[in-house]
Amino acid sequence: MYGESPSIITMLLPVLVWPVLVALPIGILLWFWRPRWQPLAVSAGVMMGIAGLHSSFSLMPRQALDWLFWMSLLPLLALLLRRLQPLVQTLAAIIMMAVVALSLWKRMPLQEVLSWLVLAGGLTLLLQLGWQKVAGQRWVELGLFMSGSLLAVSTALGGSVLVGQLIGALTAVLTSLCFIPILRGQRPQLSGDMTAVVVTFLCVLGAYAHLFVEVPALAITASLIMPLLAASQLRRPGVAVVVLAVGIAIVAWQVWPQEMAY
Amino acid sequence: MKSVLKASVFALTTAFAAGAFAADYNVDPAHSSVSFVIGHLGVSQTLGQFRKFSGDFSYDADKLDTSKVSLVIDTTSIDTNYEPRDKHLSSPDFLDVKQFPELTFKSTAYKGDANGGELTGDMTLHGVTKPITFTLHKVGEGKDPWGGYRAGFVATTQIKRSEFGITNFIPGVTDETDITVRIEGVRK
Repeated sequence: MYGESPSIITMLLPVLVWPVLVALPIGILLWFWRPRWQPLAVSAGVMMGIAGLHSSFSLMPRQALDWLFWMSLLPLLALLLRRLQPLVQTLAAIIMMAVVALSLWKRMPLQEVLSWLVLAGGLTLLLQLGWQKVAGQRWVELGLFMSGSLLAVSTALGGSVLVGQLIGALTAVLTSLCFIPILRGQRPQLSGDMTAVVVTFLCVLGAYAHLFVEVPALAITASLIMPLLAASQLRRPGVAVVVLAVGIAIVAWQVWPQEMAY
Repeated sequence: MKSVLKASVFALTTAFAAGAFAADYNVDPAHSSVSFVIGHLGVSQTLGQFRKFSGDFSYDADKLDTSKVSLVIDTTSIDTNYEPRDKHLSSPDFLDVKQFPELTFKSTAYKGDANGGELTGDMTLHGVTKPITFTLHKVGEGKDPWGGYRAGFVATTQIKRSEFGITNFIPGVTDETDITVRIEGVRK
């Protein structure tokens, strides 16, 4: 019976192949044609990941992941207000979290819900401002890659392979989109808008992992903040490596299982 | 007039008698269980149970077609005797208990005799409602030492978890899941 199980390639299709195959052409087309709307590629990649991984996916939202699918368009709408981008992306993230976790809020006191959203919104705003500040620096995208990877691994170890895979899909998409500028001989990088949208998704998926999988808040916060701190220290590579190592250690301490579940 | 009166008295007596025998029971969680068995890697079977549940049923040996069962199971109480696995089974990979904290069953029909038969009903699992049929067997009924009256049943069925939108890790963790409900009810 176990021999019937899918191959590694089949397992990677919804996590890596399909999201990247959808995101990359859109990203390339928009990069040449409408660069401002290139972040559509990030949303499309995440939506493809959700549709591929969510086994009872429904276009008419019934479950949290169905809602997340449609809410993935919200960071794009937030791009319409360019001047207040960090603030607007934060607002988009808060709305996404509120809608996606609606089934949970119904069973929680209003005060607790509001406190949670304020805390999550505060962290999102901090990250948006931080990544906006370091955007454009050489190799800074490595920090986003590390953030996505740490979050994916901590979620998979923290209890859900499915949600970990979804965060992995986002990480694969952001990494592939990074390399589009090499088509014009430029160095790999993400635009400021693309970075803002990626950060919004990282925060929302981190919130999803915490709310639905109970991944420890400290592991998620460390996954999101430490790579940003490391990216801000790229001029001093030694410090950046140490900061990142501390982040990895915190995540491992929080989620490394004493006994394997799988 | 006399015959009308007689008929009325007879009808009332019959109705009372029927009411007296029609019995509603509360599920006694101390002497009941909801367990499941699922295959692993084609080499073994894992046994699990839900520790918290509640419910009631109506059972009348003379009017079996009016029998009813209602069960509400707390999915967060899953217990497979291995905590990391319980956490994984609770996650969105399987039961997604944060989003779907209840598994419910409500019967719609019963076919059989007083000792056993087939109990059909709607089961809602993982937010999906499907009709399922239990094979029911009566263990026994009678007075308890404290003046109450009890009845007990065992019901078994097999579901395909994929039909309820739980598709991860098939076939390593089998699609087919055997469910056994052992219920002891105390007459209200």
